[in-house]
Amino acid sequence: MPNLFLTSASKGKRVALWTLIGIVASQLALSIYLDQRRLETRDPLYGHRLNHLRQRLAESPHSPLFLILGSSRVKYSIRPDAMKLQGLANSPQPIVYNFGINGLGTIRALMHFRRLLADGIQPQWLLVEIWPPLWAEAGFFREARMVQSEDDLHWRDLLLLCRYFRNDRALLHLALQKCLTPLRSYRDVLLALSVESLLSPEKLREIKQKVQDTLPTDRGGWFPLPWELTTPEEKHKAWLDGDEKIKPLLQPVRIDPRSDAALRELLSECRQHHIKAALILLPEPSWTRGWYTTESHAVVRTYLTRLYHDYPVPIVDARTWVADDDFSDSSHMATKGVSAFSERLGREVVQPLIEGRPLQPHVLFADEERK
Amino acid sequence: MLFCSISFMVFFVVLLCIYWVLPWQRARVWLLVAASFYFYATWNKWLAVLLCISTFVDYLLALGMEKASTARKRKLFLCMSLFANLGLLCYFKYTNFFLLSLDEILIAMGAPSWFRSLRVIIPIGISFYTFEAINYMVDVYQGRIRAERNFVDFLLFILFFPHLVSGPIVRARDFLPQIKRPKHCDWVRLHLGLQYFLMGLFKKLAIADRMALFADPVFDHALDHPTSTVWIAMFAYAMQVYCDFSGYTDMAIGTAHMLGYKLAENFNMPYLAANISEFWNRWHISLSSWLRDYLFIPLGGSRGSEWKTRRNLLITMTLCGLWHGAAWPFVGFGFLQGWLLILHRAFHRWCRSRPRLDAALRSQLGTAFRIAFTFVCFCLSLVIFRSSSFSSAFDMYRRLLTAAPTVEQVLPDSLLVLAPKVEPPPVFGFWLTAGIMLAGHLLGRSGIWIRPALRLPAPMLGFSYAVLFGLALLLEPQGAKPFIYFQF
Repeated sequence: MPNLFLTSASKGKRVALWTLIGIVASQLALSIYLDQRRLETRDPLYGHRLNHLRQRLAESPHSPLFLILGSSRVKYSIRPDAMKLQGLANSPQPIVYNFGINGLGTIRALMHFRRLLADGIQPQWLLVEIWPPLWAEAGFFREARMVQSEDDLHWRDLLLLCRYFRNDRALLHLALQKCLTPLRSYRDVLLALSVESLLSPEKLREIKQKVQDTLPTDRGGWFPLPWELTTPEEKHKAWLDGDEKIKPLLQPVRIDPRSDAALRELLSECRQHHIKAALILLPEPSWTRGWYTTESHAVVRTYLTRLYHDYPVPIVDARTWVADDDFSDSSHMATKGVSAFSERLGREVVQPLIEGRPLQPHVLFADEERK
Repeated sequence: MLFCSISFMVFFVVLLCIYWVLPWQRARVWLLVAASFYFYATWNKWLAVLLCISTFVDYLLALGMEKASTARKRKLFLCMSLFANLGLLCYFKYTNFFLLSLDEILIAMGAPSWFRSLRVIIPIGISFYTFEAINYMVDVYQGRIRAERNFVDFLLFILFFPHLVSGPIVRARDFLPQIKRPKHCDWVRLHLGLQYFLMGLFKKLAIADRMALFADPVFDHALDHPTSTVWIAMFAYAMQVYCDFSGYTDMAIGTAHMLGYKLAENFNMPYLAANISEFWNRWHISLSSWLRDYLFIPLGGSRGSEWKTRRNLLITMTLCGLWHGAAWPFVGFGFLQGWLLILHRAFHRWCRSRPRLDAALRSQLGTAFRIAFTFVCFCLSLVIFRSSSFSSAFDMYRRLLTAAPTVEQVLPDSLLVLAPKVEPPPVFGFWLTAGIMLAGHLLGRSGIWIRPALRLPAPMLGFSYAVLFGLALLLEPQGAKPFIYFQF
């Protein structure tokens, strides 16, 4: 029989009130602490990246920042250190940083862009990847799914999520739960930090692996592709995977209004913060390009032309820059092709943007139509 | 909706606020009925409707029984009710068990497979509310209580969500009068309910679910683990099942207190029992007393010869095992408990004629030995309760009692890759959790913490509750597991 005790009614009332205050305050305090001080604990994917970028900026505090934002295609394909950039006269060499995050579509790009601004990262240039399969907000790359599987949501993300995913109750519920009950949502990570012997060996391994996977090893934020496919069987399997996940999103290309709105909001905010933005279509192998139908091409062309009309930012078309042999699967470049591509990107896109020169017509998307 | 889930906590806080804001007692009863229906319907709305229908049938039969003019008619109404209640219980819970057992017997006799299992969902908590309905009908039949006139009150007696799915099994004569009693928001009870709830939450999340990490992988593949790990798993399961169920009960009692209702205590530190008979007076008290009152005593109890008493004990405990689940290991567990009780009775008689031995066993050291012995005996019997079959229970016993090599030691590495095993966490976590539980028992038994706790100012006390809540959330491993007793 539990040996509990009774108190007076007035004390009982005060105790209940203080319990409630204690519970709410401790959860809130932990949530804010994790957001402000231990971001890498709460959200290793973003936190480690941010810490790394901050370290880079601290090394040369006066260097302007050229940030590249995009999906895993950016993460594994653009190696800033391979770009042979020349600094401007009388100004420090800019820092080019790859902030690629798995499955990052336009809504999550906006979310991460806002996070970065809130965390004091003020780039001078921003190159944002655009990729038609991500515009549909459907299928494998659906951002509501990506947010759940990849991101750990912060308080400041809630408003944005409410606007863009207002019909996705499960996602909003998860987001609220993560923010309101951090002790429960992040208990494994917190235990791993304090008493790791309370965790099962599998869980501990999983947490350590996640940290390992999110720690950048390259100065410019580039990650080597963890899956290098070499045998024809592996490549065929990857092709089948693309055929299942990417092809349906290109036949036809659909543009979800939320995806369009997020991209426009991102470009507007760049304008507002005086950040010189540019968009880029990254290289695709010929078989992926073959999945676009005539109608799909027309949709992409019309959309980007309209976008350019509303937000006159350069739209780089690098879709044919890399040979098929340099691809590992239907969307990711193999490590061997990265250096050459990065060098060309640096020379033909990043350097002119830094110098404020117009880009060469051949690197721009549908240049003839804009004329 | 589990008591330890955030969704339940939100549900309960909202309900509690509305409940105490309502100025009318009848409106509160209606609100509780609606909330209880919603609580059950979150699992399955059709089964919630079925539960209401069976409750309505019992309500009518009880009224009919009371109005019946002859004893024969009264008996007829009772039989109809027992048939309906036990019929539903047997259909949902035991049909497949009986069919498959019959099929196995036929196959063993060389006949082809005859029966197929039915696709039946077992209504959650059916064993609990069936027993509540039966105790009501029997009490009305025996004239201990009057049949309830108000259907909503009777519905609340069965549906009241704190005890609906896992007990404690409430008696109509204890609960129905509470519904009629006017209630006012009492902070003393709210504080008491809060203590119960937090203690139950901690037991469930920080102890029971954590102990499952040590028990589950080993019980699933006993032969893959060394003897020491298997012993730890056995003790871990004993702590898991106790903290899981008593934690649930504490939360049930706590929520009921906060709503102005008192539910019966269900546990009284059973692992400090000095013999198996005392153990069953401290473990799942509401079931033990139900079985005593509605099965053991009607069978003749201990009034007849020693042989008859033994027979009654064996029948009662075997049915107690079957009540827990429709599987042979549960029956075996109950049968074993019956034998333990019989052996204890015999030993007790034997000791009475040996005063020096009796005195030695009653000394402090002797009592400590008896507590440890009872605990180990119960843990060993729990191996059958936890195992999915007698053969896996046998594997566990084999591993417990012999230091045979593990699969890892026998098979080459190349084969082990094919069947990676789930490892339990480092044993430090087990000792830490066991230490917390032991300290809780000792403090609870001595009560020495109450005086300092009473002296604490309200903010400190409230803060310590918040810390307990936080620790429960922090120590909970990978999401709350369903309560073990939900399956019963």
